Amino acid sequence: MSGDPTVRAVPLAKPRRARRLPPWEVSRPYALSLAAVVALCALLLWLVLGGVGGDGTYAWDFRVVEPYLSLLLKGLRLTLELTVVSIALGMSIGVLVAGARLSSIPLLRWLSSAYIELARCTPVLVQLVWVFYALPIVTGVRLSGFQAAVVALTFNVAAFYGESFRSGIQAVPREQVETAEILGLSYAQRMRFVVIPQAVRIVIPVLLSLSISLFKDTSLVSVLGLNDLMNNSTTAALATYRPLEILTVAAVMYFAVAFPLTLLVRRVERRLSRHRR
Amino acid sequence: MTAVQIERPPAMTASRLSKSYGDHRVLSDVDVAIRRGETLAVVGPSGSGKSTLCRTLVGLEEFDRGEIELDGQWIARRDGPRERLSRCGDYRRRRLAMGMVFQHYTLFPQLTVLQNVTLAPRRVLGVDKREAVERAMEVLERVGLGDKAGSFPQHLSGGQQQRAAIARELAMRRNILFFDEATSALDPELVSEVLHVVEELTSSGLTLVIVSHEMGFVRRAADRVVFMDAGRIVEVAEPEAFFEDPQEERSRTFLAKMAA
Repeated sequence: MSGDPTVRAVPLAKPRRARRLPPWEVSRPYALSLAAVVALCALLLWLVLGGVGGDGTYAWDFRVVEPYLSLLLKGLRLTLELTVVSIALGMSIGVLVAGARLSSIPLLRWLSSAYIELARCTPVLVQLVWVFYALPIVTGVRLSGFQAAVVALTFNVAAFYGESFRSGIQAVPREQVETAEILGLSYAQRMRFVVIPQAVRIVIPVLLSLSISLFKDTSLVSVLGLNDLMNNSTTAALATYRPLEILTVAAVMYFAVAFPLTLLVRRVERRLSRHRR
Repeated sequence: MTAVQIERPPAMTASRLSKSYGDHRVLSDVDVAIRRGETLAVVGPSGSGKSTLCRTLVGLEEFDRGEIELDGQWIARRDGPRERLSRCGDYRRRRLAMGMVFQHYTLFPQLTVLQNVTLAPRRVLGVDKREAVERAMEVLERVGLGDKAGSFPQHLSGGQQQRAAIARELAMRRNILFFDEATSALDPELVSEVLHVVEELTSSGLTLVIVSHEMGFVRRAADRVVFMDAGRIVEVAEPEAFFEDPQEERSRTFLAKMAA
């Protein structure tokens, strides 16, 4: 993780790993949550398809979804595009925001905290609507729905990314920085070889959780008329008069993307905790 | 002490060094000359300014007044809290003569032991990789960690980590090494392996400044003992004299407490 292949190439002996856990121990938490999820889904499926339980007034019929599957998948695609673009922009801007927050220049610190509070303390939905409808009035710049959504989501998530980068940098023990200073490393070298590699480790789980939240928050862009998974589901629901089946399938799609990511977060957390003292 | 050593300037001196945090004086007119090649132990109750003195000498902290000399030339001085602290022009290079081993979090956890030791020689001194590795292996052998070069710090015991930190300083070829309570965070059974390494260094020609609570070690290994209390140097003496016949009341009180 030093980011410098020449430093990494040095080891003579293979790094010794911590005591290896047997596979069932390692995967137990995933297996458990997977099992729980499968059980819950099975129960729901049984209730829905078998028409068991409930008041028997609604006859579930998932066959109506089939013609609209491609529409839903197209929506999912837009949702994913929106998520990926906003994550990329958000993280880049987040680094700058964290840099400004930790800057020795008061004006930069002040500006970035003001931005962070503004972004954190207003709802994403309001931000989306505001960027789409009010921003053109204020600035004269017209944005397409997609652009407005990217701007608003990035505006929101960059503040959170920025705050986690800042906390990660500040969580690196002071002695580490001082040791690097005593060793004669310049400020840039201290950041590159000591602070950032450690801060990244600290921050990765938080970044992943934030990104998962962002993925789900994209469902709000349907209010701007963007054809994301949520909006296309509504379209399909209106066409079929079967909102319950359609939305259930949409939920499954969101889940199918987000759940593996949460498993990944847990895995990363466990891996990183092994590298901590 | 041989005549030659007396003629050369001290390795380091501090004159009238003072420092306050608000109203609290942490260093009060500290005058100390660290002789070349000696092992100087700094002892005293906690909060007496021992660590602050070391941290100020190596340049991690600023001070309000006083002057610091290295090898007979000033490297930092300040005329008073209202004046600017000035450091000599090539301060960054000069301070490389001083190394320090901290109490904890010393090794970089994301790098192997070998990478920890080679990082600064390569990046700061510009030593090429092959030589840096050679140098590193040499100093790691010296502290008994030749077989741990490829390990990550979290797989080492606390004592091994501190020894690796010492090796890292040795690889920088320092003139003066400061130990700021380098064994205070260790489990008791790990203390001796670190002290053993430090003791070996006392006869190597390196100048050592050791802040320690290990009185037995201080008595055995130090050439002189500096006793500090409330930010002042109260007594400077050879270990035998200090422990057997302390001249100051506060020294006696401190030693009585340590013995209890």
